[in-house]
Amino acid sequence: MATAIKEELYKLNHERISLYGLLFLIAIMAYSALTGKTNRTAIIYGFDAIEWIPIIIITVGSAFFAMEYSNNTIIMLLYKNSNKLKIYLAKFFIVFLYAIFLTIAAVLLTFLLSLIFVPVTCNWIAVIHGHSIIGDLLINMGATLLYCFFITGLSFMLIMLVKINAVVICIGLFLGYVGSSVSVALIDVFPSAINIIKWNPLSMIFVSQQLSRRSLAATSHLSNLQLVVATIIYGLIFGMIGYYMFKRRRV
Amino acid sequence: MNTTAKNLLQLDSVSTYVGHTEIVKKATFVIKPGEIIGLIGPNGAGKTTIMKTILGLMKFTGEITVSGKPVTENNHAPLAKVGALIEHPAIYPFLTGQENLKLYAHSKEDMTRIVNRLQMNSYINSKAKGYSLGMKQKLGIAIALLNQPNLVILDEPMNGLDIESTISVRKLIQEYATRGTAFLISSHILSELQKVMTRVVLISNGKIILNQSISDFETISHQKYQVSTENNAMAKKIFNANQINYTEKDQHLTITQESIFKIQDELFKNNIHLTEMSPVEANLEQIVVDVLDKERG
Repeated sequence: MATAIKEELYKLNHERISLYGLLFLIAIMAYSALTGKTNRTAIIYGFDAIEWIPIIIITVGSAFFAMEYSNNTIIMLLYKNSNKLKIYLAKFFIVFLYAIFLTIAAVLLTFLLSLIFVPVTCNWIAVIHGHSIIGDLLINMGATLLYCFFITGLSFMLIMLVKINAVVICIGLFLGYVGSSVSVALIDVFPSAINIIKWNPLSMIFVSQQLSRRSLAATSHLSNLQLVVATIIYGLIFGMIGYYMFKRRRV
Repeated sequence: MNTTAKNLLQLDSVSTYVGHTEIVKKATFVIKPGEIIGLIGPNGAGKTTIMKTILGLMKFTGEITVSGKPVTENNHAPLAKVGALIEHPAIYPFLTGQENLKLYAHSKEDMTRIVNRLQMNSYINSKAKGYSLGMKQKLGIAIALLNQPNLVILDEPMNGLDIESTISVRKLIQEYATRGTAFLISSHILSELQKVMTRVVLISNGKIILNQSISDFETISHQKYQVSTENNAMAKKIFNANQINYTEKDQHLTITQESIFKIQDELFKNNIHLTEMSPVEANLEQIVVDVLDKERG
């Protein structure tokens, strides 16, 4: 397993898309700091990093898997290893590791951007109504990481299902932009089925914001604990479906 | 069939299915150390599928053993000393040639030696995405030859190679074979394959229809004879009347070896004299076409 992880890390390190993902995140956060409101809310959401990290992950995750098929390297990978699960888990782990890296980068960049763009020096540790800026930022980033687990599972499942990278990226953008709105709309349209619809996977995007803003529970109709557990379970389910399809996919 | 350690690769009644379709039908053959097997057959015959099956990449029935150990879809351990190039070179375009090799190489010396032998030094440190088809092909072959393999499976290895590279690859294959490495090579360039292979496995429609040493295979070329008579028009009538198969080209009639005595008898009875009778020297391509035609009836 360690060798497989090392090899995957080597590939991701050398693949441009991982660098582009980081540069894109920096650009989008800087753009947000330059053009948006530079207030407490902007800081605790990492200048929109919580929205964009999952989109970058779904793009990188699907591309990272799809390239093995497009370069025919999947043949080497599969025949050199008896255990397909090891290959799959190594890739999953590396994409999630990349999500951790982006999250840490986003936290550091948030500090930097707030130093530059927030006019009034903010007190990061002062607790107001039970919340501090640093606390909320870290909670949101941790929740984003949790959502990235869900997204990694989803991207692996989708790339096995649709096999076209561009389609997976479009689905990622759809989730990032309108996923929560669609979920809310579904609940509004079918209020009688709220107890079922609230568990739909599109609702899981609330996890990246709701943990620091409990008021959002009224929109998602899920408690923080429910949201966290459901996100992990969905991530596992998607990941397992992806593995099942990976195992059966012909090369 | 008993599995013996002397057989590097052994396929025993191997059938490969895609869905419910049987792509490879009860394939049975062995490869011994140092043998170079040419796997030939028309497009869609099942050559690549056999190769993928040997590599444990397809569902199959029957038994495959490498060095006496069974290969299954979930047990690839016996393939540790098997190198392969299947369909297209397995290359990461964002890595240099060197980095691609490094991913699989166990020793730097081995890697350097192969790079030198295949004359890849000038571009081995450039990103593979900029490589030509031939350069990629050589890199794919280099990857397959890494780590002193016992068995190398090459699917169309000469694709895109220039003359010099073709010669380098051919020499390297022969050198490895001398040291005991066995090769299973498929190629449409039969003239090139003929220069290296020691055995021919001919596959058609998923079935192995011929498995012979190259020397036996080449004797097939003498199984056709070209005849001329003092009256070919009359001779053809006699052949037709006696249901003797023949083809006609440039005033010559070509018949099979089995018909020789019969035509001599019939021509003698009809008082027609043979003016020429000589074996036809067919090339490998022609032989393959003839064998396939015969198989298809």
